[in-house]
Amino acid sequence: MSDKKIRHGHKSKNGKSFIILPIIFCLVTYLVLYLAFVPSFSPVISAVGMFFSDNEKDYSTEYDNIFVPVSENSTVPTVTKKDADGKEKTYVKSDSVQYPNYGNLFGELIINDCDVDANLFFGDNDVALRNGVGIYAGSFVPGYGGTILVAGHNNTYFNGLKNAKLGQQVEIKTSYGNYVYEITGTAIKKATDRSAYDLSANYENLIMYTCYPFDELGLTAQRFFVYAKLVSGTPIDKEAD
Amino acid sequence: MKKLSAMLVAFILVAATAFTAFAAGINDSEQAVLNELKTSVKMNGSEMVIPSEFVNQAENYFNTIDMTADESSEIISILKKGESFLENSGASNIADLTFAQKQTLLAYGKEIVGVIDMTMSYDTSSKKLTIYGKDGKVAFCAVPTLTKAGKIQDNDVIKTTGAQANFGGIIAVSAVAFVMVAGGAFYLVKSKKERA
Repeated sequence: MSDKKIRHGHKSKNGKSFIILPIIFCLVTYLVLYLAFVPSFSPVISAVGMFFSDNEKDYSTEYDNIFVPVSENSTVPTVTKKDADGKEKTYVKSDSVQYPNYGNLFGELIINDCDVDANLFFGDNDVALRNGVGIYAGSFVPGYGGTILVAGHNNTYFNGLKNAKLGQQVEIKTSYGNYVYEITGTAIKKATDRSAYDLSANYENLIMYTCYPFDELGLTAQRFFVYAKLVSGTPIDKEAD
Repeated sequence: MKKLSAMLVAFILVAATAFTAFAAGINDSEQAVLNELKTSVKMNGSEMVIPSEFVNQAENYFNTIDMTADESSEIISILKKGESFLENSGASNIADLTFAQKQTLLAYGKEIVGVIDMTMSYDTSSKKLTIYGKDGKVAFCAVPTLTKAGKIQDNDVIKTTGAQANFGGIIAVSAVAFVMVAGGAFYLVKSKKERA
């Protein structure tokens, strides 16, 4: 009798081990695999969905897109004015510039040598950094003649900044013109170091940054800054017509 | 006659769509407000100004609207009241103001943004001031403060550009580590029991 009891108890234990635990293990494994691979699969699934879908994808709920690339053959309305030194200079007419509101997608940032090609947003909130790179709203847009401070994630759009070198060209395309910058330096600085940028500069300069080290998980105290100067592009006429 | 009117309508439509004019550019009214925003106030003997990154945000917003001369003078007049209030507050910065003084300052702020159909709210927990545009979208969000001339004050200039995107990765790695440890522990306990 006691032998039977022992065997029965052993049976129920085996039942637990062979049925419940494998199910739990299976579920946990699927969860882990899902969490681990969802960043890799989701773009593919989205692309496939988009390919087979009859409906146009509505991005308007996430952000407004005002970017219409300027083709090589088209011209942007310009005006010729004298600058502060009395020299005649050509400017993009202010009323032909659709100035972006916070959160608008309004351009594209390309660094061919670093494999960087990203949507450019005005504003650097989560939506912007999830879909491209974003300009801090307390800095200015390309062509405005001030500091352009651009943020991007180190494991997505700005991962290529680790290959940034002096002399490489950065191209920014907007609806009102295309601008080319040349990288003049890089620096690793603390995120709290306010000497890394000058937001009151009265000359056009591009600063791009991302978290540093590039492949580190979690919060990082440092940022990798890339500095660039304007090489070509028509400035915007700041005065309203 | 029908043909002529049809051609006229077509011409008007083409002309209207061909020359899209935007509100970009800073007009004299907007420039006057920007100049006033750059004016310093003397608080407890120190010359304090609105941080340049906040003034830049105002300039960026002004590039999307057309401010009239009346709106500009109304805003400047309220700004001056606010400046005088700060100078006589006895505080060294906005953070040092009493609750009642902060409420008064907020009322001035709401009056100012209301002139150009914007709205303003203040979150006491995050201490952030948010200004919404005509369309209800956020146009400005920061902890309101003043600074000594030439100093950057906004702590949110540099964003976190790694952790959020890696959050999924952190969870995945943690989950894998947890499963491996749990699996190992289970195997050890089981083999120990079997041996016993």
